[in-house]
Amino acid sequence: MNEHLSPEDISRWLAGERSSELERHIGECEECSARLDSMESALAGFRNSAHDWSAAQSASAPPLAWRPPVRRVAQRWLLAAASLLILVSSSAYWEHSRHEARAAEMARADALLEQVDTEISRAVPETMEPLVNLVTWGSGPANQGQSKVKQ
Amino acid sequence: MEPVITTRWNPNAVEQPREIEDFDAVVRLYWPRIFRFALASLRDRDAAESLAQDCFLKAYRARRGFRGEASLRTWLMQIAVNLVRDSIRNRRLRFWNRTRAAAPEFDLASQSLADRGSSPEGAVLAKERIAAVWRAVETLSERQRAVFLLRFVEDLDLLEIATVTGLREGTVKVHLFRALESVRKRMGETQ
Repeated sequence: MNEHLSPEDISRWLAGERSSELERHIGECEECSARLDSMESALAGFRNSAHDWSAAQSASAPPLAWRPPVRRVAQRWLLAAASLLILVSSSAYWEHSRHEARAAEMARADALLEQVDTEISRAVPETMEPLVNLVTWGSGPANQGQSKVKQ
Repeated sequence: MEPVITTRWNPNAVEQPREIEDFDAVVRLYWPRIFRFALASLRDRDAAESLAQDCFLKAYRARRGFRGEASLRTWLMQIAVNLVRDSIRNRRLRFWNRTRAAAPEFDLASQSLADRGSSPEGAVLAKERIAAVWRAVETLSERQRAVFLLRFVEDLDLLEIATVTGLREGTVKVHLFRALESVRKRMGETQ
């Protein structure tokens, strides 16, 4: 190839269509090589300017603002479920504690009654024991104050 | 002439996350790329940010379906390209948005490159040429622009671009050639 490259040849070369013939000519012809370099240099400058501009513009933009709203919704649901679980657990725990306290109170009351019974039984003087043996004492409130004389 | 696929614009080595389930890591790794592509396509920071978020949200929801046939980068870019296409189509209806090109930011970008140049004249020239490329890109068709940006900003090779856009590799080449012709003409490279 003796003739210089046409403008279309240069575009074709830059577009990626290269032949050994073109390559040889560019290697040998200073004028065509300079024209190609000039075009490539402009494209490289364009590339750099795009990169610089983008870097300057994105510097103030936090890249992690992309997070999907779906995830936020899921997080809210998770939080709500956790709150509900805590509420239910604490109410169950409170109920359980209340029940235990009540049971303990009942046990204390029973023990006290038993102690009173014992005290009462011990409080009868010896002289009265024959009389006590004649009667049976009821344990329930319905029987309180009632006694049956043994026949 | 025997066409050969070029690898001149090699993609940067990108570390692939081992597990897509670690999605925060995926976002951290690919956010800059997706945002950059969206910004270069839409030229609107808010829209680009919103699009990047949509992209990751879609990917997150579809992550179970990701089988790894393509790389994660290609898959995410595929989602981004579709979102950009939809966004551009929607924005066409809202004509006032068409004029919302981010001129000051664009100026800043070209200025930053010009600052790297050697001489003041060289810097001015470089800035003008880059501005011409940006203007040319704005006039490209939706597909040409996507292909052009994927190639010359995101450094994807032709095969990856074909996968991302759903086009055949030959079609990608045609779009790229036409885009380059428009850019070249806009830059005054007629010789």
